[in-house]
Amino acid sequence: MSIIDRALEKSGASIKALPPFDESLPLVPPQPVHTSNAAEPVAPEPVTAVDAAPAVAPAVAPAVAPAAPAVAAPAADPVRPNPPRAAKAPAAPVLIVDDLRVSFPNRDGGRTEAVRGVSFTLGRERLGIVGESGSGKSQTGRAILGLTAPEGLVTARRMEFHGTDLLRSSVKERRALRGGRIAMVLQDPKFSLNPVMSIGNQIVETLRAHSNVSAKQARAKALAALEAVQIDQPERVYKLYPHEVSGGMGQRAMIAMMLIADPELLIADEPTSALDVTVQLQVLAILDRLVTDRGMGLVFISHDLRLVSTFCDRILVMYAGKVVEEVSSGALADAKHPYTRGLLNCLPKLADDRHPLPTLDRKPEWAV
Amino acid sequence: MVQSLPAKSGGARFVGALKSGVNFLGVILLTYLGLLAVTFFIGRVMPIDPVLAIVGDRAPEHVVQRVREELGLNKPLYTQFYIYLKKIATGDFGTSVLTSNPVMTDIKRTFPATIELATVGIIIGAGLGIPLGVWAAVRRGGLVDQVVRVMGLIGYSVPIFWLGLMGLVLFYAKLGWIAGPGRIDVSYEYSVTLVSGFLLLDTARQGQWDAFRNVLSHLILPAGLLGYFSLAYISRMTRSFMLNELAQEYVIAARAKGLSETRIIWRHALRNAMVPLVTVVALSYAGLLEGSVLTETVFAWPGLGLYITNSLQNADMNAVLGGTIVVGSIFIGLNLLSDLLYKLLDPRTRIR
Amino acid sequence: MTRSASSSPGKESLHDWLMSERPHSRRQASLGRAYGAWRTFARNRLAMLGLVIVIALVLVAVFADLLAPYSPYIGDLRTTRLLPPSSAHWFGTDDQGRDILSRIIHGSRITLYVVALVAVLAAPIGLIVGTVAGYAGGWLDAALMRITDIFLAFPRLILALAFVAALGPGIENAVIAIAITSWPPYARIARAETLTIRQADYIAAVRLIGASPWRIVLRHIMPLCVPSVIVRVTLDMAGIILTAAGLGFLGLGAQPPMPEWGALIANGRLYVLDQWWVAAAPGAAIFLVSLAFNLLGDGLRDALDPKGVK
Repeated sequence: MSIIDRALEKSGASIKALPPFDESLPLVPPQPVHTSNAAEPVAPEPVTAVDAAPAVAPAVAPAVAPAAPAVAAPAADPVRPNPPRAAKAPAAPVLIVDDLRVSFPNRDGGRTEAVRGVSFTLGRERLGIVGESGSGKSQTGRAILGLTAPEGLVTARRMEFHGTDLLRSSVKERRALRGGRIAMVLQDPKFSLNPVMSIGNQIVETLRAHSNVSAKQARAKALAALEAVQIDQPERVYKLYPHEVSGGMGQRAMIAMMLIADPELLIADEPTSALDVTVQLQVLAILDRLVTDRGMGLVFISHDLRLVSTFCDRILVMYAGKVVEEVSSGALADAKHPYTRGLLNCLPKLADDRHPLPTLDRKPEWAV
Repeated sequence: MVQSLPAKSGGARFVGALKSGVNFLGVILLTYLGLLAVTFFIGRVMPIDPVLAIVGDRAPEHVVQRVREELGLNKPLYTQFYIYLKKIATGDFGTSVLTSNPVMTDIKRTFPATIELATVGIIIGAGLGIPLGVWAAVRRGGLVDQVVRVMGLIGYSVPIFWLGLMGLVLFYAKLGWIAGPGRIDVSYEYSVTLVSGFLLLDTARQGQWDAFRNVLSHLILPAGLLGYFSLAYISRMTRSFMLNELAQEYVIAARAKGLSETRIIWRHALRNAMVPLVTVVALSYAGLLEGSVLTETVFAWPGLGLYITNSLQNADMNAVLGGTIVVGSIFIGLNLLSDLLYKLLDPRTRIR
Repeated sequence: MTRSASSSPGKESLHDWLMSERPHSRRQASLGRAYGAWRTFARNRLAMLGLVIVIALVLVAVFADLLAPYSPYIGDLRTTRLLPPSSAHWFGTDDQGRDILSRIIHGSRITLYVVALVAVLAAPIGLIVGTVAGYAGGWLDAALMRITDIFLAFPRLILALAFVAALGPGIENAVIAIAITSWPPYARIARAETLTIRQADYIAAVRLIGASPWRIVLRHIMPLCVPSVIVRVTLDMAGIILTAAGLGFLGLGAQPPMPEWGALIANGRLYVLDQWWVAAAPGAAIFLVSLAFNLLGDGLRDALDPKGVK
């Protein structure tokens, strides 16, 4: 018997009786967050292993929400203290994507598809897109925004944002959308902030690109935006350059920069992957609050399944350019697709005693 | 949430700046010393006995000895070097065998012509080269891109003096579009009073527009030639830097903000590319000065380069070395300046 | 290295043997690598053009006596002076009645001589300085790099000029002068490579066996730096040719009657306004050869160091 077992026996407990360690607990006490009711889940159809049939997606979308707030809420989730409530009257979907395909020319002269027929609908909710590198999740996000590299080819049967057809919009129209109504937060503030411009100027730049405000007003708003992301000394940070602030602060500045024009949809492409774990949770809390307060739709792209499951209402699991499963975060444990199950299996649990640790056994048929 | 910024005390920052400054000065000093050592060495290595060059080979022994004493050739080498350094520091480069003037006077007389030529050249080169390079990078693979690549290739391969000659043949001898060698026609030469030494400025200030046009006509081919060479280099480097910047994440972020492409190119990408670009322009200017030796020979441009080559033909070592030191110093200075500029302009390495 | 019995080239084609993922011997591996680099290089048509021209230059220089239609040194002042290009004299004749084509052909020898000599002088110096500085580290590294930086900041042409002025004109002096100002970039490159290589485990292994620093530098580190230095040397070739031509133009290179290309242009300069052909052809030759080396160098760089941004 191990020391721990002996100690526990003495105290009358056993390992198996302990509640599972809640790894989502942050290392700093949670901040008080406004309760809000902005989250309206679109009908979660738990456990649909989505095959290539695109018919599933539209069927999911405008369906009326069923009864239950299906999530069995884990106790006191500090990042999401308010899991999605009962559905209100279904609002018009914010984003509709149908059969999105993105391809790039490859070395042999042909084309490689990075995104192969992704479809989903998004309301005023949080959608997580989870996948490993190369699964096409980032490209999906960029395609929505129109940021695909020029040699890439983006096609879709439908891609609409609040009724605006993104596929047929002119370059100008799409540019007006970017930053103003759809925003994107990128991964590493070290690289995604312009190194030769001060942080304040970059924030002001976004604002002035979308609305006609005077320089003074813009500055005031930028300072307010910095405060909103809980930066302590906004005037000081305003004048700093990106390399002079820490990663967490830089990412918060980026969030401020992207949200200052009050967009309705936020696409967060691995927003915390470049940060330390402790800082991650702080930034996520800020993101959570802002998204909730403003009632924005959120697409959260990440490789971290656990993070996404605590942060988002619905999860899209992508593999090799396709969506292999769409599941609500509460029903994640009941996921059907072997890839998702494999990912879940790989998540280490402290209470487990598994030797050897399971790894993902990729089957070629998942990529078909 | 409190995030404290790393605070450097004023004293620590000052010491840091001081250290960098001292380091930089040390590098400058050492490099100049090296240049002077090399020129000193060259001067002493001459097979021609400097004494004989002055007194001739028929002079009696005591005269030779006296001149040898005067020149300090009896002293040990490091003493000679020290004397040499002192002289250089006071601007005494010796006397020109050819013109019997102090070399410094000759240099002062000829220097402005070279500067005028090189400056107009770099204005053409950078003024056209940077926009061309930006265009080539933005429309990658397009016509301008190909043109920039080809021009760069030609610029790196063609001998500048030959191109100048061919240019003279075409534009002067065959087409008669421009004036020929020299800086200004003889007919105007004495009607212009040299104030700054820059003929363009002097003629313009004195309102002598005929002379001004004449000067321009003389200037345009050699300056255009130099401009082409610096353009080939600058546009290629601009293109390379811009391609680098346009592939960065912050450009994607800027697009995500909804900024116009023009703004992104000029205020984001180019602003970042400017950092290494300034050093490129400085180095190109240095290269133009160096190449002046050849260009001025072709165009009979009375500048420092021509002075050096003329002195060369006449074995006037003092003049050659004096000119070498001046051009070399400016060259080195521009090199080091460009390093300094790079550090100053990049906010990441700026001394805070 | 023992060479195990590999499958005979009869069973698989030579190409397969070279590109095999499991080479059986060190020679097979290094040949395979070279073959791979060659294939990348060969795909670049411009680089191949450069290579062809350089090879042509070598051939022309070697067979100059056979290829030149006339003597490069002797001309008939009475009948063949300053003739324009014609079928008899493709590039015309100069002021001493000499056929310019023949002079250019013979001048290629001088060009090749200068290029080869400068490369042979400057590259090893740069390699040694760079690898020693990179491997030794500490004050030796700092001192060597200071010297390198000082030389790097010098203007090549001007200094070569002063040097040749002091030593007297002549092709050897020109070569020395150019070589002295050409080695610093190679030292920099070699040092940069050495700094990366010396962290490797196999260097530590060799050191554990007891190899002396000199042996390590010479036998293990230097060979790995050679490809980058070669690329840089090739790219520099054009500049060296142009500098040598410049010196020749100023009368400081090969002395008459040697038909050095720069000197040919200087010769033609006196007559250029009316008899432009005297200066035209030699310059075109310089241009062609420099261009070839530039293309060759670009191709080599792309083949050996693919991570550069195009």
